[in-house]
Amino acid sequence: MTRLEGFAYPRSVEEALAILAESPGDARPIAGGTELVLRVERGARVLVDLSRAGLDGIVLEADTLRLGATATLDAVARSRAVAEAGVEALAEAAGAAASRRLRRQITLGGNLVALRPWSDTAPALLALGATVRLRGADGSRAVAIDDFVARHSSQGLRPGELVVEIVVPRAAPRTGSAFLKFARSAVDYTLCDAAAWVRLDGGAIGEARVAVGGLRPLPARLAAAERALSGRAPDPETLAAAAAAGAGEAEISADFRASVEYRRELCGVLVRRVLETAVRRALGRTA
Amino acid sequence: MRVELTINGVPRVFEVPPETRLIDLLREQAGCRSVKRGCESGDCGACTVLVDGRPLASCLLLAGQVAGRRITTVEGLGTPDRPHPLMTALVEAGAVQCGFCIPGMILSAKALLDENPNPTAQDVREALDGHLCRCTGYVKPIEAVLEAAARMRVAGEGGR
Repeated sequence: MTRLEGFAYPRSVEEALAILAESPGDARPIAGGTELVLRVERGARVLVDLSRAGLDGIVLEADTLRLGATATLDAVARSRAVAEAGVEALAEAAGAAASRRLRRQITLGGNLVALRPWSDTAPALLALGATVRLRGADGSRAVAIDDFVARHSSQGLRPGELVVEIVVPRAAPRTGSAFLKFARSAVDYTLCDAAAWVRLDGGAIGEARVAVGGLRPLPARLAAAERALSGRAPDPETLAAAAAAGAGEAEISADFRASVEYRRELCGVLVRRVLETAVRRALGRTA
Repeated sequence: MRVELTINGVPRVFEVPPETRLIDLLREQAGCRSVKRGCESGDCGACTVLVDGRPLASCLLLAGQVAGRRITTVEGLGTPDRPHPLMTALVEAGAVQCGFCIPGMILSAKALLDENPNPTAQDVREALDGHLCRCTGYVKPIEAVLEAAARMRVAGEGGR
């Protein structure tokens, strides 16, 4: 059995990648650690602590918002750049996951790679059409968030590869997004969460993305809800019908916290509410 | 594995197995018994300590993750003879019954007041979010933190 021997503290991504390449299978990256610490005995020989590798920057550029993989959820939720980028769903998801104390520790990249019940940022990034940038010894590549999440993020990574950055398009005029989570208490696991992004085109919805999490092992887009929105006027009836279609389509599993029926009901309500908010924000974003 | 930390202002060096968590280092080796072992899964807030001034769950951190950082526990804030204003206010408000949750609450409140000396009740509620108390409830601790903040502002104006 592999026994943990110690830590490495790379000061750059290059250094981190070099350490991971040196001991394939033996070295494991650690970011916030909330997912790893309780089962570290089954882990690696070396933990490569990414917290000092300079991967926590949040940078606003002309068209995109670039979020370093080790930016904490608390930093993302409170970031001025995130607010300026107008990506409401991400700010709301990063501010709702787990508890405030854990949000100071959980990183955005870790939240996506772990895909645990508190990975509330995943549906938000699905709705916002984010891109995940990865780096390995052989170079870097960009993966659409849909592909990254669909294969379970941790399996989308090649050996020795790191998530280095999450890139989100800045909000354009006539677009808006929103996120909501429901849990039994502020610190309990998510029972259902939902995120929506819409682009208005004249008097109608030009394009919409709807995603949910907490319902089954992986967060997912709701294609039926998106189809029910496209090309239609953003009136309450349309949004309610789309939410109902989405909830009807969602794959849902039960656990001791909630039944399939209860989660389906929650899903419909949350999707309708995030759509209403996203549309209101899109109407208000004139420039 | 060798871990260097500053605990309550004092640089210390520990030799620990690499899988040692911060809570175990603090309680078993550094003698900081104010750091309480509650849920041990990051949910209850009893093991909260300040790491470079930020309240974190010491049960979900490996000691190696905080190497070189500054750790503050309640032992670093005050003593029975010279209590911190937060301690005095919590006692006077009747916010302390069994006391198990209180060290964590004090540290989260301390971090809040360091950042914002004049918090609203809502700020205090958010700062104490995730500190579970099974005795007195959540009203008195909030009142106590607001009272401590007011006293600390007065003391600050007095030039102390």
